[in-house]
Amino acid sequence: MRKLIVIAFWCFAAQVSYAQQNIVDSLKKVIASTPANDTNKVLLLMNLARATVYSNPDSMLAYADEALKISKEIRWKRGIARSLQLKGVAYSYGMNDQISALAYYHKALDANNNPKDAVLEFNTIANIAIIFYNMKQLDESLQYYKQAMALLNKMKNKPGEEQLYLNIGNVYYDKHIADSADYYFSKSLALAEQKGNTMIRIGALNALGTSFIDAGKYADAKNYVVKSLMLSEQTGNILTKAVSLVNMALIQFYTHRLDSAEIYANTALAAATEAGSLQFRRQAYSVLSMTEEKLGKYKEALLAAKNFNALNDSLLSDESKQQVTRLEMQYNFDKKQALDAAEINRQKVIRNATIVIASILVLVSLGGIIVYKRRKDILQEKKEAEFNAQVADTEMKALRAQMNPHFIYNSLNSINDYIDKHDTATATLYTTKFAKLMRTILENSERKEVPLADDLRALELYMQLENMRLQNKFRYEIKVEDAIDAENTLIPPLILQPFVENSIWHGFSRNEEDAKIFIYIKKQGNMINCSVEDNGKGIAPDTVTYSQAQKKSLGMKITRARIDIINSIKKSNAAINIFPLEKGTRVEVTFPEALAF
Amino acid sequence: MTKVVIIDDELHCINRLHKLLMPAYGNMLTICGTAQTIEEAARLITIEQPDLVFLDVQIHDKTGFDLLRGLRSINFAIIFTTAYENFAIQAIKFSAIDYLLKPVDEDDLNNALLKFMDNAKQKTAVEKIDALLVNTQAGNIAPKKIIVPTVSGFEFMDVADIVRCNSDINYTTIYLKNKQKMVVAKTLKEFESMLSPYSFFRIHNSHLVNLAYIKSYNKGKGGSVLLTDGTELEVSSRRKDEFLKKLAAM
Repeated sequence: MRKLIVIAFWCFAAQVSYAQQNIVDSLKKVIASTPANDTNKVLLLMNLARATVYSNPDSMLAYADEALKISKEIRWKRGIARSLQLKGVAYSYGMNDQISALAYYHKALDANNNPKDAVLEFNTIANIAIIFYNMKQLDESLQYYKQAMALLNKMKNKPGEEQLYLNIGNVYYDKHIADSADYYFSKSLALAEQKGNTMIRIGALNALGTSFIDAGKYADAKNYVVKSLMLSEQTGNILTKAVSLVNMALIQFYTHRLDSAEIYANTALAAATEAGSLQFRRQAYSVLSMTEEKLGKYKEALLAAKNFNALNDSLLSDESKQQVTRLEMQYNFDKKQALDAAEINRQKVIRNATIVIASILVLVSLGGIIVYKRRKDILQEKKEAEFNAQVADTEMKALRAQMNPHFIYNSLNSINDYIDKHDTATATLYTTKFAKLMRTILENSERKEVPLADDLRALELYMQLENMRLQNKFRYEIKVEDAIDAENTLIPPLILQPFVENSIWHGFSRNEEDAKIFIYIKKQGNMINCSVEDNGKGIAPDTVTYSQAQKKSLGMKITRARIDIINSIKKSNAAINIFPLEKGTRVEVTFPEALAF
Repeated sequence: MTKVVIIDDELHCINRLHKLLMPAYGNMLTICGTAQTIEEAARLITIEQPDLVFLDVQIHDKTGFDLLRGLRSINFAIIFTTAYENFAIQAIKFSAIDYLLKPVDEDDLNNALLKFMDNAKQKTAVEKIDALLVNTQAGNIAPKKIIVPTVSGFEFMDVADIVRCNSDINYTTIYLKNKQKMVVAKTLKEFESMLSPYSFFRIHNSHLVNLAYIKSYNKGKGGSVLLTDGTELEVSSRRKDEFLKKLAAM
C-alpha cells in the first residue's frame, strides 16, 4: 500500500489562511482602535485568530479567548459558538491537542442554538471528522462526514462541498474501497472545476491519478496527473507539483517509458527537495531507483536506493514518531473517554446511592414522625380527655355548690314558713325569685362564660333571696368600674357566689349590726379584679381565722379548681387572694379580661 | 270587661294565675272559665268566645299548639305559660307571641297584660299563629318562620331568608335575601339568642350573620367575611376562632 499522496484541505470553518504578517498587523491596529466591545470587534478578533493559526497558535488561542469573553459580555450567542469553535481549531491545528480540540468543538455545538448557525455546525462536525481521520478511526470519521454531508444538503449554497467530498474520498481510499473513493474524488473534481477552486482541483486530480495507478489504469491516470501537473505549474505550488511529477514518473515506469520516467523522477526529486517534503523525496528516489535499475544504470540505481533507504529510515522514524503520537493521541483519547465513562458511572452510582439513602432516610423519618405523632396524639387525646373530665367535674361541682342543697332546702323551708305565717305575698315573691335564680343557674351551667351584667343580676337575686330569709340582716352594694363594659365583659358564671355565701353565713356574727357586703368589679391592667368585701367579724372566736375558714371551704376549693382550669386553658395567671381587714374580710378574684367582641 | 280563659292541666297553676289576676285586675277583666284538658278547653273557647287565653304549653301528653290546630278560628289573644324553657319556648319566641314562665312573676304578668291592653285587646294575629303552628309541626326541628315586630306592626318571614342582622343600639336592622331590609325594635342580643341555634353566628358586636350566606372568608387579625349579597363584614378577632370552628362544622 502506498502512502496516500493527497493533501487534505481540512480547515473548513476557520478558513484558515497562511496570512501575511502585514494582514495580521493591520487587523491588530483596527482592533486596537475599536474600544467598544461589540460584534464587530468579535468578528475582527476571530479574523485575527484565523490569520495566526499556524504562525502563532498561542496568540490564536488568546484571540479566540478574547472573542469568547466579549461575546459572553454582550450576550452574542453566535459569537460564543464561533469563538468556541475557533478555540477547537487552535487546539487541533495549532497545538496538536486533539482531545481539547474535540472538547471545544462539542462545546461549540452545544452553544450553537437560538438561532442555529448551519454553516458553523457543518464546519465543526467536519472538523471533528478530520480529527478521527487523523487518529485512523476511519469508521467514526466517516460517520461524522456523513453527518456533515446531511447538513450540507440542507443548505442552499454549499460552501466547502468539494473539500468535503475530497476528504470523504480520502477516507474510502484508506479503507481500500476504491470505487467509493473514486466516486467522491470525481464529484469533488467536478465541483472544484465548476467553482474554480484550483487547490481542490489539483488535490482531486492527484487523488484520482493515484487511485488509477493503483488500479493499473495508467492511461486514465495520466490524464488526471497531466492536468494536475499543469495546474500546479500555473499556480506555482511546488508541493503539488512534486506529487504530480512522482505520479507521472510512476506512470511512465509502468508503461515502460523508462527514459521519460527517469526525467520525471529527477524533476520530481528536485521539486520535492525544493518543497522540503521528505515523503515525496523518498517516493521520487523509489521510482528513480526502479527506473535506473531497469535501465541498467546500476550505479545510479544503487545511489537512489541508498538515498531511498536513508530517507526511509528517517521517514520511518518520522512515521514511527507520528505513529507514537497517534497512538498516544488515541490512548489519551481512550483514557479520557474511559475516565469520563468512569466519572459518569461513578456519579451515577453516587447519585443512585444518594437517592436510595435519601429515600430510606425520608421513609424512616416519615415512619418515625408518624409513629411519634400517633403516640403524641394518643397521649394528647388522653391528656385532653383527662382535662375535659376534670373540667366537667369541676363545673359540675361548681353547679352543685351554686345549687347548694342547704340553700335549696332552706329556701323551701322559708317558703313553708311564710305559708305558715299566712304571708302569702312574701311566699309568692320568694318562690318566683327562687325559680328565676334556679333557671339562671341551670342555663349558665351550659356556658363557660357569661356577660358580667347577667352574672351580677343572678348574684343580686341570690343576695335578695338570702336577705329575705334573714329578715334584711345585711345590706349589699354592687359597683362596676366605669372602664368596664358589663355587657361585653365575660366572666365564669357565679364565680363570686361561694364568697358571698361565706360572708353571709360565716362572716357575720349572729347579731351583727350594719352588716354590709360590697361587691366591686374593676380593671387591673388586662385583668378583671372582682372583690367581695364584708364588714363582719373577721376572726372567729375560736381563733381560727375566718380567712382560714374561707380557704378550707368547699366553695373555695371549687373556685380554685375553676381558676386553675382558666389558667391552663388561657395560659394566664388568674388568682384568688384573701385579705383580712381591720373589720371583715376581702376576697379578690382576678382573671384575664375576656371580651365577647 | 275582657273575657279571660285559663287553660292548664295543673290546678295550682290555674289558682295562682287566678289569685294574681283577680284582686289587681278585677275591674277590667273577668275569668269566664278554666280548663284542664284540650277537649274541655276547645269547648270552653267555642262557648265563651274569650278575648284572652292563658294557655299552658304542655297539657298532659298534648300541647297547647294542638288545641290551636283544632280550632276553626282564633279570635282571641294568647299568652302562653310554661314551666321550662325548651323547644316550645323557642317556637313561641319565633312567633312573637307573649309568654310567662311558671311560677309566674307578678311583674312579668303585669308587663304582659300591659302589652295586651296596648294592643287594644287585639286577637293574636293569624300570621303569628301560622308561624307558631308551622314551627311546631311534628318533625320540624328547626323553626322555619319568624315574626318580627317592626315600627308599623310585624313582619312574617322565613328564617332561611335572613342574610344578616345589624345592631343599632336598641334596634336591629334585618337584611333579607331579596335585598329588603327592616328595622326591628329588638336588640341584636335577643336575635342572637333566638337564631344562634340555627346556623346564625354573631361575628361582631354589631353583626349577626346567617352562615348559609357566607361566600368567602378573608384572613386577617379577625378577618372579614364576604356575603353572597356582596357586603363585606369585619369579624371580631375575639370571635374568629369560634367562628372558624362553626364554619368548619357546616
